[in-house]
Amino acid sequence: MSENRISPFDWILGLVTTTVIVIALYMAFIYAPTERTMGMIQRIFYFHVASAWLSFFAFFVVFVASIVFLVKKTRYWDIMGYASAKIGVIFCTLVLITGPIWAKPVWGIWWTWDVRLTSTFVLWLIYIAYLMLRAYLPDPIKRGTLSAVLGIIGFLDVPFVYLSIRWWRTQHPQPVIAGGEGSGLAPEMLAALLVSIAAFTLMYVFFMRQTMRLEKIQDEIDHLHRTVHA
Amino acid sequence: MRTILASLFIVLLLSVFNVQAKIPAEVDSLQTVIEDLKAENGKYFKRVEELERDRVQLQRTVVQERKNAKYLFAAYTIIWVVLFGFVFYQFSRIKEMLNEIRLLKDLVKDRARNE
Repeated sequence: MSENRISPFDWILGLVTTTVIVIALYMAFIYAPTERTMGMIQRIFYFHVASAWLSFFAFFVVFVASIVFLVKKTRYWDIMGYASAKIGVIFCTLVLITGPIWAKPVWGIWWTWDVRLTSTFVLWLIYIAYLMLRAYLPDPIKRGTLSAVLGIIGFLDVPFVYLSIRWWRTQHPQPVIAGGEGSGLAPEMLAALLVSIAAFTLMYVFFMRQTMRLEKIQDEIDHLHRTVHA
Repeated sequence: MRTILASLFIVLLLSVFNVQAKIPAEVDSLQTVIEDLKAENGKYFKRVEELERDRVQLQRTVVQERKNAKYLFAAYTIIWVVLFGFVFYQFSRIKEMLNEIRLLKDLVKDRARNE
């Protein structure tokens, strides 16, 4: 029953994550200068972009775990894909919530069906479908295989979302990092963004460990149920 | 006496001429001062206009920022409510499941004892 207690590693990870989150908040609100055109509302950027990065990363982990699962057919990779999809959906939801909140005062509208926004919404729907598929399939092998296939196909939308603002002129701002000439961030803003991304990445690792732990406990319960009903 | 009066008259005449000669020069210099003051006044007037424009702009920014602060507050509140909500859900679910495991294990033990 090693899953029963939070391990010392998780305690330390939780503590480090909390500390980095506090530092990220300090940097986003105090250290980073106020943007000239948008003013204070631009400070949503630090956590909006960090959430987007995390959702992409989480879906990449789903993609890798799904491939490995299809090759090895082991429960560990199935759990990993599922846990990462769950967390990815949460961060993608945050992107879809904070984006319109930022857009309203800056663009004057909550939402527009431009390529970046629409493809992000489609990405969210794909992984919601992934989670629903898993919830409706009782057979673990069938569930793992079908969701792995969806996890691989669904990931194809991630590069599309990322590159959409480079391929088309969109309402969504052009990239500020690696966006070519005229793009870029003030060094303090870049530092604040990187710390926010680091905080969210640590949070992702913490969430992953807890979600995988939860799934392992669920497996143990299922095993005990089978023993009781045998 | 006549001579004295004549000389006084001449002095008076000379001083009048002298004053009249000085007046145009003083008027000119006063005119210059007035022009300078007018120019300076214009400068101040422009500066006042600029400051007023800045004040209005600043006021507009403050009003806008106050309005935007609500959005910023909402965004960050949602982020942390969602994330902490997820952590809370995970831990409460783990706690529930561990209780279930304990009950199931007791059940298995009881069954084994009865058999």
